[in-house]
This record gives sequence, structure tokens and C-alpha cells, in this order.
Amino acid sequence: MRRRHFLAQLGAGAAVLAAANTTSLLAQGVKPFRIYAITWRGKTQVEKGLEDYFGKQGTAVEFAWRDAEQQPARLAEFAAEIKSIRPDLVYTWGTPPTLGIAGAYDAIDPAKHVTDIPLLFALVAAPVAAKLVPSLTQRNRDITGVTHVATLEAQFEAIRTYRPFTKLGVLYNAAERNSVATTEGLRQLATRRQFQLVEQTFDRAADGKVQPTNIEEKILAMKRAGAEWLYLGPDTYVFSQIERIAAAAMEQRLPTFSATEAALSGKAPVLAGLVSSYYTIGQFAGYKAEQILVKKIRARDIPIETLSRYSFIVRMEVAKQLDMLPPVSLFNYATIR
Amino acid sequence: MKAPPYIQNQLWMAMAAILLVVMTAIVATVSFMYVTFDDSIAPQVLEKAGTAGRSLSGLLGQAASHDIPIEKLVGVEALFAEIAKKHPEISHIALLREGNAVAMTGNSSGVPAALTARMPVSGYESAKAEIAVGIDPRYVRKLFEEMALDLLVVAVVTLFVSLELLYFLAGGLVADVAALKARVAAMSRGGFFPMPQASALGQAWSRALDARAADMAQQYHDTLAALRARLKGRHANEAGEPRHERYHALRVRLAALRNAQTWFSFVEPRGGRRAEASGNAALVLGAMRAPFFLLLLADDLSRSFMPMFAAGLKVGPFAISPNMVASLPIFAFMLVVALSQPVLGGWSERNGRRRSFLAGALLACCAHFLSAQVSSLPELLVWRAIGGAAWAIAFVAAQGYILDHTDAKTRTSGLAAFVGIIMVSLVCGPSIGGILADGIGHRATLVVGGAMTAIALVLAWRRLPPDAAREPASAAVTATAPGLRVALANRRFMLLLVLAAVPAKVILIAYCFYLIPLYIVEAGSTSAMAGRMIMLYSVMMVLLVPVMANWVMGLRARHAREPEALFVAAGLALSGLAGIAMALPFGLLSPLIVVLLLGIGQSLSISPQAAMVAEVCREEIRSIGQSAVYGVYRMVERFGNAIGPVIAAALLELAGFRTAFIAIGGAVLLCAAVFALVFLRPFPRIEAAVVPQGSD
Repeated sequence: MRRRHFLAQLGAGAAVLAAANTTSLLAQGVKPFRIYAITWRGKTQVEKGLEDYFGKQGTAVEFAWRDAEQQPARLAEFAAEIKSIRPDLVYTWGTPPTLGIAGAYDAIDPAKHVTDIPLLFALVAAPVAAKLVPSLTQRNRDITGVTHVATLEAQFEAIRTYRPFTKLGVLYNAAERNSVATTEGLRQLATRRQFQLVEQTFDRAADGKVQPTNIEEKILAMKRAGAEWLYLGPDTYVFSQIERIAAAAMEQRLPTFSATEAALSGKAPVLAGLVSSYYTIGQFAGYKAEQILVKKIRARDIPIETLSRYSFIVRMEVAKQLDMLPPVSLFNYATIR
Repeated sequence: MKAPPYIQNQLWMAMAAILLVVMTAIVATVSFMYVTFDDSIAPQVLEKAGTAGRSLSGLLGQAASHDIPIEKLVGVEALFAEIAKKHPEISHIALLREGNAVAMTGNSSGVPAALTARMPVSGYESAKAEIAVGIDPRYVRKLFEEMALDLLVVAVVTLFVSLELLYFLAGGLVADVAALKARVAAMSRGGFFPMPQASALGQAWSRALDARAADMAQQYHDTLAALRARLKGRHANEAGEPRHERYHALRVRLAALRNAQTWFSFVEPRGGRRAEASGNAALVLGAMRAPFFLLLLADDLSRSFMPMFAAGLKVGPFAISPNMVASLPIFAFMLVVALSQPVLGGWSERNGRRRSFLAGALLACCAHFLSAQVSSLPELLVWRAIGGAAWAIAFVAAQGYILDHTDAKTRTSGLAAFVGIIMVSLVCGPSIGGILADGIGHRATLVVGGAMTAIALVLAWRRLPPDAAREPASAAVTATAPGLRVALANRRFMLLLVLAAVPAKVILIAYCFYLIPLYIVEAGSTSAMAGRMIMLYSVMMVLLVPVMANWVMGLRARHAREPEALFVAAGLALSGLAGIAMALPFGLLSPLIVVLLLGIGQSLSISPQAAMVAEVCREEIRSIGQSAVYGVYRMVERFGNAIGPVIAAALLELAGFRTAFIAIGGAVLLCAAVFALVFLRPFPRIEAAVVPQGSD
């Protein structure tokens, strides 16, 4: 219901969007809402969508942008700052910043975590697996957000439509809770749908910190083990190493499939993905922020949702390089880039 | 209503003429279509192939726009196969390059060029690429066969409906001729009293005859009165002065008049009601026939698709398997029919036939229209149950009409006409309903049924005469509580019910109304085919039941034996064997064999089984009456109707179609064997009782 409402507004507001300008709206004299926004490695299309949503709606908001630069230590500083300036809403991008600010639901430390300001997240693939909430419907604090990953089942079907396989390679960061959860989901799917999973994790230093060593070797090992696809899950570390991973996969003629849009928008030669658009996710997050700020709905009463439509993206250049052209039936519904 | 032979002959002639005209039209249409096939049908079928080809060409064109060379296209055959699977009429799809197939699905051999659409692939013009989509000639032939079968069904239905129509129209005419005949006969015997008049045919003549008779009677009474007055006057005025000659003259005249009364009669001899009742019988039956037929037809329309319709509905909060869901509407309908039966007889009598029939029609009308708009199973079950109540009310009222308006002499033929209406409706309803359902959908067909009941309601309201002052004991067949107790205490009667009556109904309803429709649709055929199967069964009933009944009577007369039990056992065994026929690997031919065997089996056992009730329950009939015993028999039988589909659904759920057919058939076969053991021992002969009909 809310999603439909949101999507309808998206269409109606398109014209306004072009004319509206964030700064002019901020100068209206109304006291703007203050949003403390934390990104993990700089602003993405999600944040663009979020800002544009407020511009389009004419809601005066004031963002305080902070970037963690992929350093968990910085999150503690942000939490302290939030407690002192007390914004109306905290926005976080991705699982690590969200967990850093809010804490796992069963390990909240009021000294470290922000507990009395509503939090809105985006780009958290699996809020339950990440222990952000006990379940999507059950929340004991003011937290809501937008998830962005299609079900593993749908992704599996998409990969198989492109090119059937019996062995699927996956490279993930074992230190990232949501990546571990995704891999566990893949293992279950593999038993159910009868394929084999070829797993590789990133190397870790003695202190447990993940490090980008031996990536090429790991991909070669997967290829040798018979992997026919390389699955790139919603893993923040995978994304930080995407160019190296994709180049290595290309070297081994191993097609890559991504769960997130960002991996398909850069230079890295990733072949395909079933993704939701980051920009639309940002707008959907904006809609939820508006419900908290303007409509005064408690965040815990706003559903944690995902978009109902995903794009099957195929990059034709990569397909030609790999000599793995998509089946013609895909032209019916895939977005060819 | 027994029409005079002359009228009967005319009806047969009219039927033959209608059949001839309809059949000629159908044969002409089909052969004309065969002849003009290339000119008219081929382009239409090709258009379908063209549509599929154009969409494929567009898709391949997109690949071309990404500069993919034609030989590098991936998944073309899989795509073609997918399209061909969706369109059963397509025989093959090929991607041609300079006339040679690069990719192909299906088989192009035997497909004429006239049935192949070819078009260039946009974007691959330089490679001279073409898409070829062929239409399977067998599909076209099958289209014709389907159409021919539909037309055959329409012909049979037209035949029966026109017969109904003729009876409807002729009902009045027959009554008029009968009235005229009675009038003339009465006059020729010197009767000049008022009599029922013809209402349409020979109306003027009838009225003139009546007026003339009334005139004569009036003259007689006037003369008599005048003479009496004069005689009295004389007595008063000329008292004491006897004028013997004049008295004598008057007395002679009076004597002459009295004498005339021995030759002619001027008042109705035996009270008018009786003569009126039999004179009206034809008229009443004529008036009842059409609305009753329409009511039955409305229900029979949905028989061939009701399981499929139910299976497609939301179940609501209950966890029921789709197969069970499909069986429930029949169950609800039949259960209400069975349960309401004991109550309705008395209710209908108290409320009057006309009022109860109208109530039934109104209820049926609501039930049909509301069934058409249901969104969930519980709703449908409610409306089907109400439809069952409506059906039972109308059934009892119509039966009551016949019993009220017939006497011992005309009752048998009246009830035969009643059963005839039921059978004709069962011939026409499912078959036409199946065709309608395939054409306009399940819900729209239910609406058509609703419209039929609405017409039935209007017809009944306008034409059904008010109830006659009733003769006391009508032989309406109803089950009563004491009847149940007494009858069920008879062990042989119980065995007859449990081993024969109930299994026969269970297998009939389970097969014809549940398993066969579902099986046929599951096998990829249509509701129309399911309707045809039910129609085939009904036609067999119409044709075979009288033949079998005569056969039994003949055997009885020739060999002075009791062949009933043998017939019942044989019939049951054949019905059971019908299910075993599903074990044979004949595809769509198997249900046909099932229906044929079932038809023969049921027609063998129906009448003898009813006759056996009279033999088995001699004592009970003497104590509580024939109608009470038959009431129990019918009610128990109808419970068989209700549980049949549920048993079938449970078996289908557990073990699939084949096992469900075979299990029910095997069980009935077993019943037949036990029945034969129990009943195929000689027992003393009694006179054949007149069996009240009321089979459904």
C-alpha cells in the first residue's frame, strides 16, 4: 500500500523534480528538519535519490553529511556527535554504519549506540541476518529502512535463465555478518535446487582484519573447481575490490553476476545482475523519512521493505568479451547496457 | 398427458422435420467450410502464425541492434520451443538463412505452404534471414472435428428443445381438441350442460356449441317453468270447476317434457369437478412443462464445469485440497436435495403447488445469479446449497402438480412426461453449458442459467393455474420418520439400499459429474467435451431405459420368473466394470468407454431396482404405504448422490485419476457380487406393483 503510494508520487512528481532546487526550498523560512546522514564510502545514487525526494516534495530538510571512509572506528565519533547535536533523524548507508550507530538489537550499549533518535537505513541487504531487528515485523526500537536485494531464489532463476550451471562460485568477506548470512542462504538454496557451491573467502590478517591478497588465485581456484558463474553478493568488501575481482574473473572467462547495482555501473567488467536501482532506493528511503518527520509516524511502525521491481541488467560489451551472449528470450525483459 | 394418436403423429412428424432441417443445415455448413477452407479459414489461422512470427522477428531484431551476428544467437531453439508450447496450433518454427534452417523446433514435414507464414527478420536483412511459422494441419482438422461435434450437440439439443417446445405449444392444443371432443360426445349423448371450453384451437366453435347447448337447456327450463306456472294458475283460479280436457293437455305436455329428460340431460350428471380435472390435466402439464424444464436446464448447464469452476476459487480460511474443493459444490447441492426431501412434501402441499413452485423458481434465480459473482468457495457452497433447496422445492411442486391433476388412469403417463423433462434437461444442459463455458466463461454461463430461471419464474407466474381444490390423498413420494424406522428395520431392504441403490448413485455422480469432467480437462480437452460425455450418458438413458424396462416385463411375462435381481446385479457389475476400463491406455477414449458402459449398466438396473423395492418391502408397503417406502428409498439414494463426489475427491487426492476410477469401479463390482449372492435366490412371485416414478 505504502509502496504503491510512493511509486505513484514518484511519477507525479517528476516535473516538479526538474524545477525544484534544494537550496531555494531551504530558504523558505520554515525550520528545516535535520537529518544526520552517514555514508560508508562517499555519496552514491541512493543519497541523490534521497535528496531529490525531499526537493520534489518541497519538504525543507538540512543534511549533515558524514562519510566513514570504510573505517568502523569513525562510527563511534559519529554516534557521539549525534548525541550532542540531536538531529531529527539519522540516516545510514549499508550494514556496517547502521550496526555501528544502532548496534545489534540484542547488544545495545547506550554509551556507544544511539538509542533515542529514529534511524532510517538503506542498502542493508539482510536486516534480520545482521541482527539489526529480531524480525521484519517485530521491532523494539525506532528503526526502519529499505532493503535492496532480490531474493536468492529470484537471483538463482535469473542466473540460470542466462546460462544454466551446476557449480556456482561465491567470494565473500567472512567478517561481514550479512555476507555470511547470504552465503548460508546460498548453501540452503544449493541443496534445494541441486547445484554445488564453490566458496572462497577473502584473506584476513592476524588481527582478523580482511585484506585484499590472493584475489586472483582464489578466482583461479574457483574456476579450477568447476565454477561456471561467480556470484557477487551484497558484500561491502566485494564492492571495494570489484575492479580486481571482475578483471580476474574475466581473465578466467568466468561470468559474474551481481546482487547490487553499483557493481554494474562502474568500469569493472561485471556481466549481469538482478538489482534494484540505487536512485529509486534512495527515493523510497526519502518517502519513509518523510513519514517519520512530517507525518510523525513512529519508525517502528513503518515497514522495512524492498522495491517490488528489479531490473535484470546485462552488459553487452562484457558478454561479447566473454563470448557469452545472452539467450535471445532475455531481450524481452532484460535491460541491455 | 397422453396426446391423441393424431396429435402424437403430428408431433413426431414435426420432430423429424426439424431434425432434418437442422441436420441438413449442419452438414451443409461443415462441408461448405471444408470446401472453402483455403479461401477463408487458412488466412485466419495463418494470421495467428504471423502474429507469433512477427513477435519473434522483433525480438531477434533487438539482438541485431546489438550487432550480434545471426550465427552467434543463443537460445533461439529454446525460445521457439517455448512459443510452440504455448500455441498448440503451431507445428514448427524455423529461423532460415538463405532458405536453410539455422534453428528450428517442431516438424515441418507435411505442412503445406499455405499453412506456413514466412517473414524477414528485421536487422538481419543482409543475412537474408527469415522466420517461418507453420500451422499443424491436424490442428485445423481437429478444429473442424470440434466444431462438427459442437454442431451435433446443438442438433440433438435443438431436437429435444423443439420437442419440448412442441409439447408446450401442443399442450394447449391437445387440451382444446380434448374439450371439443368431450363437448361433441356429450351432445351426441344428449348432454346440453355447460362444459370446459377450448381456449385457443376451435375457440369459436366450442363457444358456439356451448351457447347452443345452453340455449337448448334454457329453452327446456323455460318451457318447463311456463307449463308449471300455468298448471298452478289453473289450480288457483278455477278451483272447484274442473276442466279435464285442458288439464289433460297440460299433463301430456309435461309428460312429454319429462320423457325428453330421459333422452337428453340438461344438468351435468356427476358433478363438474371431476370432468374438469381431467379436462385440465393436459393444460396444467403444458403450463408446468416449460418453466420446470427451464429450471432444470439452468442447473444442468453448470454440470460439466462446476468442479473446475470451484477448483479455481479461493478456499478461504480452510485447508482443503483443490480436488476436494472441486467436489464440494456437488456435495452441497445433492445433500440439500436429499435432506430437504422429507420436509418438502408436506410443506409444498400446505403452501400450494403454485406458490411453492414460484418460491423455488425465485430462489433458484437468486442462487444462480449470486453463484456467478462469488469470489470464494464458502460463498459458492452457500449458493449451491440454496440452489439445491430451490431445485428440490420446484421438483416436489412439479411432481405435486402432476399428482394433483391426474387420475389413476393418466398418472403413469403424467409421471413419465415428468421424468422425460428431467432426462431431456440432462441431455441438453451439460452439453450446451460446456460449449457456453468454453465460449463465454464459467461465470457468464452461470448468468445464462440465472436468466433461464428468471424466464421460468415469469412463465410460471403468468401461466401456472391456481391450485385446484385438492383431492385428499396424493401419492407424493416423501420419506417420513416412521417410514424410515419401519423400512430400515427390513434387512433385505437395507441390503438393497446399501449394496445397490447407493453404490449405483455414488458411481454415477462420482464419474459423470466429477471425475470425468476433471479428467477430460486435465487431459487437455475442453468443458464442451465434458458436456458431451454427460450428454452421451443422458441420451443413452433416454433411449435405453424404456427398452430395458420392456425387456424385463417381457421376461417376466414369458418365463414367469423374477428377473429384477439379475438385472440389478448385472447393471451394477457393468457400472463397476466401466471404472476398470480406465485401466486401459486409450487416452480420451477411456472416458468414452466408461460412459458407454455406465449408461448400459445404469439403464439395466434403474427400473428393476425400483421394482424390487415393492417386492422386498411388501409388508412395509401394506403397513405404512407405498409412498412412504419409496420416499425412504429415494432419500437414501440421494445421499448416494451427495457422497459420490466426495468419495471420488478423496480417492483422487490420495492416488490420482486412474486409481480413483478403478477403486470406485472395483468397490461397486464387489457390491454387485454380494448383491447377487444375497438376492439371486428364488423368492415367491408377487404381482408387479405400480411404481411411483420420480427418478432424477
